[in-house]
Amino acid sequence: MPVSQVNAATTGLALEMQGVTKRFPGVLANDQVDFQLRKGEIHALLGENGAGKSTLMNILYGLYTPDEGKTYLDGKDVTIHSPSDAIANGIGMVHQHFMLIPVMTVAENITLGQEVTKAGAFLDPKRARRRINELSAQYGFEVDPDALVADLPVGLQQRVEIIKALYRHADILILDEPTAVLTPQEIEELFRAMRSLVAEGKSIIFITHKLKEVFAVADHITVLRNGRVVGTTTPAEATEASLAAMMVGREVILRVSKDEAEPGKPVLEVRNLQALDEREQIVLRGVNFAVQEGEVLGIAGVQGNGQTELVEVLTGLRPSLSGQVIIGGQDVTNTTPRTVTEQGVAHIPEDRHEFGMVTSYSVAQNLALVTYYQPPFARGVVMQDKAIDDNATTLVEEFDIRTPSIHTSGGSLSGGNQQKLVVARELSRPIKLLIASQPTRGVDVGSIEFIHQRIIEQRDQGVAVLLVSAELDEIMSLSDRIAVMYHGEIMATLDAETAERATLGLLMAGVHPNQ
Amino acid sequence: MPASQLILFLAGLILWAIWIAALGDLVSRDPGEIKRGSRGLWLVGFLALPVITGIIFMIPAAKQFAVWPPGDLIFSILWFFARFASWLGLPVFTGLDVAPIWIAVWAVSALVGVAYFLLVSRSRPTIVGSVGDIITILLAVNTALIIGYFLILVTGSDPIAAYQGLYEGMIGDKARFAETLVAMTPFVLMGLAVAVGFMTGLFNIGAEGQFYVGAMAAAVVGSSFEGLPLLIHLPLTVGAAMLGGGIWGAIPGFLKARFGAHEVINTIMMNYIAVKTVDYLVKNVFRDPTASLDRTPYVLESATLPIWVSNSRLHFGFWIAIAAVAVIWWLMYKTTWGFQMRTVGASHGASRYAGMKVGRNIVLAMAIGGVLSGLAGGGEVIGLNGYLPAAFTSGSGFDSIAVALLAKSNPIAILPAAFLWGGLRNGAGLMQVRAGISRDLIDIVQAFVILFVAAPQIVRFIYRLRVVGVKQVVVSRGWGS
Repeated sequence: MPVSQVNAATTGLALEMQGVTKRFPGVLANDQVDFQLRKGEIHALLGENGAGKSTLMNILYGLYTPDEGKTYLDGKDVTIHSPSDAIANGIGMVHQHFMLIPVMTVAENITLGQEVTKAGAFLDPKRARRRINELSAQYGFEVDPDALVADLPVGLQQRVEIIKALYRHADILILDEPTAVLTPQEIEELFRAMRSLVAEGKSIIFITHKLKEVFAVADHITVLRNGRVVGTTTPAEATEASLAAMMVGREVILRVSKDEAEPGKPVLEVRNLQALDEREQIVLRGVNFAVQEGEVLGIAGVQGNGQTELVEVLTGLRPSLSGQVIIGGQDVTNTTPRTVTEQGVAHIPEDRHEFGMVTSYSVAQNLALVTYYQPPFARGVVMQDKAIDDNATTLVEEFDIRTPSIHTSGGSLSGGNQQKLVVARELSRPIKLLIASQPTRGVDVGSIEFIHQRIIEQRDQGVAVLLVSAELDEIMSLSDRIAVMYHGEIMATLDAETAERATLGLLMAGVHPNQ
Repeated sequence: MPASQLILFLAGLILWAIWIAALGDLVSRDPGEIKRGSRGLWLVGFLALPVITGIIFMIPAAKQFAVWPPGDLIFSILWFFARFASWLGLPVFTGLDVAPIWIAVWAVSALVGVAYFLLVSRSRPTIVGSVGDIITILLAVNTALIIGYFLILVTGSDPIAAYQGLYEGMIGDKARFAETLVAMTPFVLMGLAVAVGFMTGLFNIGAEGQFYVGAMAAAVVGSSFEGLPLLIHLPLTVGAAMLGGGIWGAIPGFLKARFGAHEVINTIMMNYIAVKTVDYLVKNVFRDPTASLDRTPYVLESATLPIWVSNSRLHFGFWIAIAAVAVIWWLMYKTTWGFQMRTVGASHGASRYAGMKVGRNIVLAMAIGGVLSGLAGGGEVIGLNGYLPAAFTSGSGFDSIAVALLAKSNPIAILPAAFLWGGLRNGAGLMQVRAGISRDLIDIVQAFVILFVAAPQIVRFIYRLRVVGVKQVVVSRGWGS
């Protein structure tokens, strides 16, 4: 694999971290990490969950104190004790979960904590607005300072976060998985913005696990694994396969190999389904589709177009307004989750923390969460601890769930292992329909591969699979047919073999390519 | 009071804290982490001296040890156990009358602790899981007693005499110990009631009202049906108390499940309704016309809980409470019902996903709480008073929230928590006599205990403890990458 050590240029370094080591009880989170950020570059920090990217950035941002190691900014040795130290040193961070107050305006959010005042005590909104407009103009960001943050789309909220950092005179920007919540178009805009920031002399650390984005925007790439730097390279020297291999330490099959599907009878039929969201707004506007035995139907779409609600209605978690859901020939419209489960449906939920598991429960209890009331887990009302433990021991082995013990709490596992736990539980019982919603969100590359293989395995055994994902790559590599969802409707259903990225992208944006 | 007393007192507490923290660290570590000696050897080193002196300390009490009848034997064993546990767990009480010995014992024990830290641990004391909980609570109680010590000092009384009185009032002799068990019985039942709510994610403030309804039901049923045999009348009375409390508890549960009405508001309001309604019923409907004060007629012999320990008020309601602990523990941890309730308590989303009925479990948990509280109220009537008086204020429904908090909703831990609570209440009387201070001081001490238990960071900060709990080593929460 082409790995080249970047020559440590003595000048032109915005940031240098040397020999950073951070230990947590039982974990060496960072082990002698060296990291160099040049002025005016976009430096991608790549690694699996738990590779140490977050720890390294938390150290840089002053949230953790390193056990060893030094940080140099512009060649000067600095110690950063707190985020306010980091801000004072020109380091800004855009978190994955935005730190914005929805009920305040853009200008209020940006100036929060560093308010522009007159006479020391009174806010001066005019001057604040002027500064924000200056900043927006300088970097080409269009944001209305008087808009309420709650009214802005996600992409613009992220823009506000970046301006917030710039307003605090950040020279180094840390962007933590900034593309996770964006549409392909918004991602393009973000990349343009990042390039214009770099052109103005800012330096950007771009944390991600999406390989394609690294190639699209990064100047240098540093890959971390198990707390150590595996190597630093450039997009020109690396390939997707080589980076993936660096991240997981072995070759990874990025495209799932699968045979031709052999679809049989329809298992899930959805007819003209309508439903409301939490705010009583109509969110499903007559959805129609069917999934057959032995095929994967992928539902593509930008998040927030009704996919979440669709899955909830199908699994009995949300009532529908009208329409019909038929599973295995039985009408299960507006029935309970238990009835759906007992129809032979497995559900990998989108949000494993809200639905899929109980973080305070042990791995063993979580693995029995859905069928706890059935033999062998219960006899009458009495739970059978031994059967629950035996089941856990088997599944932990079979699904390679990395846990110190089956009695460890589910919440203390890494994201990938939590997801494998959910997948293990759902696939360990006989099913005829698998509903997998964002099955690999926040999961490391190694686990993604594993989960994908398991889903295809189910398909090959004749299970009907409904896959909902915001990751187009995932949809394209797993599905046999792809339905694109936009604004609560299925825009079109395409054959996965012949579907093109561009076509899907347009459909996801609500445009029919032929019109 | 001489300054030397104060110094001895504080020194003893510091030494004891070192000892208990080192012990917690030792128990928390994997055997592999102990570099020198084995865990067993260290444990012997830690426990040898306190255990020996503890046994010596109990010798004077041996005179009161009764072997016959069997009930008194069990009672004597319990009493011995409580005294011994108090020596290991709260020496601030027990050692006071033998201060020099006490200090010497804990000094040597603390030395073992220091040696352990130097040779084996070499880090801040780390405590894990339930061991950590126990040690945090012990230190919380002790910290509260230290603060109480200074409060007594400020009021111009003798803290040593006060605490000695408090201790003796709790378990100084068998008669007082029996009274402590009497006082703890309703706390056990109602502590369980609140704990079941906590486990299901509900804040059940309604134990007080459910207690009254149960007491009313028991008073009415217990004083009616003359001629029924005990084997029918007593279970019928107990059942009436449980049913009354259960219905009273289920109502706010139903309101929550059906309409989303918050259980805190509803249970508080249900408390008012229960207290005032019962008051009215006692004064007007069920009043004993022959009695001079407002009360219900006496409960019949056939509905009275028998006395367990001779020459005391301690009745078999105590064993009902112990049985309730076992039943609730089994129900919550070993059955699908408990699994459902605990899952609902942990996450509504996950429980719905797993096919559980959130509303039904809320009603169930509140009803079980009501049954337990009703049982507590009934037990007070048919075991202790024999009737229900008007203006029968107890307030123990609210104290039981504190008991459940102190026990961290663990059904087994409810027992020591209720014992401490009942004991402090019961011992306060003798403390008042001995030191001439108000028994309300105990309220302050109890408030501090709860404060420190509810905010364990304070205690850990004071004693430099590091707790590795269930949610350990969250290396990168919220970063997701």
